[in-house]
Amino acid sequence: MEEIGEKKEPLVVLKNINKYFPAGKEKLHVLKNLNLTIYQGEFIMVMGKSGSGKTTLMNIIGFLDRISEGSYFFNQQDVSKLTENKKSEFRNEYFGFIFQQFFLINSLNVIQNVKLPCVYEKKKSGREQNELGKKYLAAVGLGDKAKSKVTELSGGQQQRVAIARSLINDPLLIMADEPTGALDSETGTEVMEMLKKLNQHGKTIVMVTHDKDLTRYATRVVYMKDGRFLEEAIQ
Amino acid sequence: MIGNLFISTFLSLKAHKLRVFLTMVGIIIGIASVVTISTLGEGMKKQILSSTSAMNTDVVKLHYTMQQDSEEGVYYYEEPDFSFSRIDMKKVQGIDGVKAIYPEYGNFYGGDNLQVQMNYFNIVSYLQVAPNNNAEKTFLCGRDFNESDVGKNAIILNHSLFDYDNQFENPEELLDKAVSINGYMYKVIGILEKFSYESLSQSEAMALDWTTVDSSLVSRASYNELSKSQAIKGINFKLEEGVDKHEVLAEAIGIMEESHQDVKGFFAENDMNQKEMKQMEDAIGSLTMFLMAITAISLLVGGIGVMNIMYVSVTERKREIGIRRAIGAKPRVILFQFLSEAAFITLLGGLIGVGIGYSLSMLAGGFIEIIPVMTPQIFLISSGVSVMTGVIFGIIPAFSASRMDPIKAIYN
Ligand SMILES: Nc1ncnc2c1ncn2[C@@H]1O[C@H](COP(=O)(O)OP(=O)(O)O)[C@@H](O)[C@H]1O
Ligand SMILES: [Mg+2]
Repeated sequence: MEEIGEKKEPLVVLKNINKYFPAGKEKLHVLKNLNLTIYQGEFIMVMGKSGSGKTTLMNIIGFLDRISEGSYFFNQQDVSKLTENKKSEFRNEYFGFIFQQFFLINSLNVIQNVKLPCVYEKKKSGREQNELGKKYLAAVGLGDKAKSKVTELSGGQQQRVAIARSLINDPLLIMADEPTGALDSETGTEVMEMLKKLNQHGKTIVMVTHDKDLTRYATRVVYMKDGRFLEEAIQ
Repeated sequence: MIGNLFISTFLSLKAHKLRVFLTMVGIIIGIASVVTISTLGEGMKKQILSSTSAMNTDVVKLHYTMQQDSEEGVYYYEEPDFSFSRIDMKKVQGIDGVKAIYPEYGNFYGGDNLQVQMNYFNIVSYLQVAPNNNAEKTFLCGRDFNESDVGKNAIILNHSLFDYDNQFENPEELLDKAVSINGYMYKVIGILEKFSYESLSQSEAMALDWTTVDSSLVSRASYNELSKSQAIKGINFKLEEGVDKHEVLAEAIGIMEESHQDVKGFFAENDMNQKEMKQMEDAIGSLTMFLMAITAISLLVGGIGVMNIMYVSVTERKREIGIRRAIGAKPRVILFQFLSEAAFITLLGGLIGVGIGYSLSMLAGGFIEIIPVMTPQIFLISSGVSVMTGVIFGIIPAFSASRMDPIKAIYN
């Protein structure tokens, strides 16, 4: 198993998971008997038509939603029955989220947005938080925008702020749900280059996209259709 | 963490200044009214205290009463079967720690005056008589005492004699006439101007010696002469410095009980002043209760306003809540965030209310001559009540915010 140079740590192991949403008297079967293992260092892209269940899958992996059936091991640990507090801690410590609509908090300025996960982590002093915030802002090329209002930034800049925010707690996994969906292709490429660099430095990334061109950045691509992975659907 | 909470609270409130202010109106009114009343009440208490403490606190009053104090405040009058003798006074004077004593002849007000009968031909009237005190007087007619009166019986009549008794057609008719008091002949040398209560200011009324305001005046020598035939209703004694009042009083009561074992009544402290004081405090107390009720109602209204605004705020900021939860805020962090916002609104309202209330009481105090007093208690209780209102009425919206599902909150 453990060949030198081939050591692969599974970060996420989903086994036979099903997800139902209540829809009137019926149940909507959104994820159907899925199996997925994500290894450290991967850059996985999830593709598929709208409504195929990609976002639901992302939410489940990121502890934002719970599975209806099946089991979920995160970092070798059974996490199918975590409390709200524990899930909050896990999200804060292990995950960085990037959304299509950026989802920054408009009443806070740029640096306050970036350091927010750090504030909730409660492990660092206010000064350390500021230092770290500045460092990650500089890393995404926005070192001069720390005190700016979020609403004064362009879409591409906002997404870079969101990337800085997702990185500040040095997460194990970056979850990016259509991160370029709201950007023009040029700024979209900038964002992708940034993610590529992160992956090259060892970050594990799971990303949802509609854009076939972007699959060249991925180390693995999975296709979804009606709540199943396509190769499984074919099998 | 607290600093961050404060900043984010401040930022989110700043974004809705007008709305936040309108929400505070109920709280402002509630707190302002309670502060107005309590600072005025405090000021009044202080004035009463300083005026009563100006009246000899080192004087103890021993009297004889037919009825022991009843807590319910029910009194009925019974003619005393005892009055103090000169011998009793000597005995009290002999107690260690007593500096001086003087008799109390007793009337409705107590104090230093006598109730005497005055005859003028066949007209009989009753007078209160006090020794001349050299205070400034205003005369309707006649004059003040002078050297020519020494060794003679002279009297200055109080106008009240004519106010309560219409046997005399015209007060001036008595001037320079001789009247008979307790069998002695007195020459009326002056008649005082009618005393006008209406023109008194609050502070003048406080300072007034009510025991002698209706009294006619004679010289000290004449007064002593008249008092010989009077029953002594009480013994007042001045204490030496550092002497325990209750010890001396107990000893005096003991001596009296020992000397007069056959009387039906009781020897006790005459604490009329203290009783009046207590009545005053009770009156202020019940007024305060009434105003507390009003305050409670306005705080309730204000609180409901806060609850409403917090619900609006939670609904408007659903996405923000979802984002915060997604990046790791625990439910209780969200709870505290909204609670602190609610408490901040009401605290701010409370502080504004304290300011307005104090200004109002200054204004009102100017008219009724009371200087309002702001105590640390009033300030702390007002602020505390404000914060509590925010917490109580903010808790339900804050709790609902903390229970939101992050995904539903974000995507809605
Ligand atoms: N909270 C929800 N309640 C009910 N149905 C939902 C909910 N979230 C998603 N769905 C449904 O589940 C299916 C998959 O949605 P989603 O995971 O968002 O797909 P994708 O991201 O691939 O477009 C869709 O039919 C959608 O309507
Ligand atoms: Mg989606």
